[in-house]
Amino acid sequence: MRLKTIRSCRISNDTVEVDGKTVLKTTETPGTSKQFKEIYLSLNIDYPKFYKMDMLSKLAFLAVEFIKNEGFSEKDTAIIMTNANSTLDVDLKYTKSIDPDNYFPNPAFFVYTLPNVMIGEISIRHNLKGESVFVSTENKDLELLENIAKTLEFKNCIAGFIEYENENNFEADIIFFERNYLNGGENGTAY
Amino acid sequence: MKKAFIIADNIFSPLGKTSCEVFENMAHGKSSVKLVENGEICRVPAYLSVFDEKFENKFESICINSIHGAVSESGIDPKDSQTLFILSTTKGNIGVPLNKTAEIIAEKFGFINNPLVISNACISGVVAITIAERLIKKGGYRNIVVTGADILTDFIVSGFQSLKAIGSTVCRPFDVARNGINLGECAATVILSSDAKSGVEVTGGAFNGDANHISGPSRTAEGLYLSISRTMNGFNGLPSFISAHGTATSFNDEMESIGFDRADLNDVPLNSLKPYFGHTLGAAGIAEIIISAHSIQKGIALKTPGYENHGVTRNITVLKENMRAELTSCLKTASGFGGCNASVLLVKNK
Repeated sequence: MRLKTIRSCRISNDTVEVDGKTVLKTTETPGTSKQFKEIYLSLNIDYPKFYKMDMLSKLAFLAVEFIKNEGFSEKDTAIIMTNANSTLDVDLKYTKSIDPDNYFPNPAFFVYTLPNVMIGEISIRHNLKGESVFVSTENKDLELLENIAKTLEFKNCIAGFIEYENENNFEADIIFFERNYLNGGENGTAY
Repeated sequence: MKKAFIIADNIFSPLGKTSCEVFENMAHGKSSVKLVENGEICRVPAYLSVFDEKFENKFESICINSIHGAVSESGIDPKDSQTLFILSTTKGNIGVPLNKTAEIIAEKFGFINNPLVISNACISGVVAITIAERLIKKGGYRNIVVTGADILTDFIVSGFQSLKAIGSTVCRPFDVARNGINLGECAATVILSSDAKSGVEVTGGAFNGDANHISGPSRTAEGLYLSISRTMNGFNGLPSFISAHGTATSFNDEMESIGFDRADLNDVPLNSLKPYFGHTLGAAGIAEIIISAHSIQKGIALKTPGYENHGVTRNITVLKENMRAELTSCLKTASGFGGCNASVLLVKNK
């Protein structure tokens, strides 16, 4: 890894890793609402809006909870999220809710059918108003994150890959880093 | 320092197949928004701007048409290693990964670099142009082809209908009688280049969140105000005109009026282009930047059709008639779901 990170979180299968160390092994079936609830409860936070989110936003929300820190800055923390399947899971749920006999499907699903909405949920939770962008990518791609980061204005940045295709294909892998790591500043590595 | 000039552009829409054709139609007050009763696109009739003609692989087809128009005009070589292709879309082909669709389009032209695919709701186009401008200035690319596109499907139209956001007439941004959006399909392409020396330059932009609500605009226009402030920082004076988002929903237009008021832009002539060709989602920012750039070149800021009686709480200057004037700059803004906002500044450089 070329990009030196301050914090990182990875959620996959039954494991939550923070800064490379396993912090939680879940007992519920991986990729289910029950598992995401189990992870949420382990955080000991009170944020009922969590339960209204779609699976992709829940996953992004949880990962960011594990790396939140005093460095989060209202106007100068950027967010870059990527994945391959955009909002496919909730797209399918929304499509199923279009009942041919009783037209007007479920708006609660529809509002989550844009991949930047998970960024919106994180912004609301942590009061972040900095620059943010969603980029579609086939695989986890650290070089892409670096290249995008170089085009944004920020002091520090939450970036990563949040995929929720279905129960069998989900993963959150995010990092938190500061601008001077990118520019080869005093703590810089890559450049 | 390198500059990012618009060297070619294309709008491929139901209102016209080139930017010039679309601009001319707008200047004559024509609109492609009409009542659509096509069950494949909307089971409940709605005012939309849709293509009458049938396309095989519609999304890819309209993108390819638009890119072809702009690339032939520019004379750039898509196969050059310093050329990048950026695609801006909200939904692309639902069920197909957006990056796969972008690759199919990129292959047609032989772009060497992997396409960059940006999906940021209704601000996607403005974000894509701003990122392209920054990439050009950093010197990694000489030419960037930025295409924004979306097509209308039952999925998208029913979603906006379920939110009760669709208007019952051709939309009337900022008017007291406005009652919702007209959706539209479109592909629009801008080619930014560091090679040009004159024309319309993209000088900078910003994009900021409200941190307020995922589907409702901020009551204080927080993100829009922050974005405009950062975009205008360092610019001397006021822009000649503003191309607003102006979707004609009650909440959006009100929020924008608050944002422009907070930024002291009350007296700057302003338009929304949505009544001409609808809200074209991932194409909107790009198509509206193109029309604004043509406005600068031709010295005509377009009116906002349907705006008769001021319907927002803040005092802003919405154009009721086309305005002929020396135009040297334009502030383009956009806002979208997720509580995101973006703005970008276009400046005439002789």
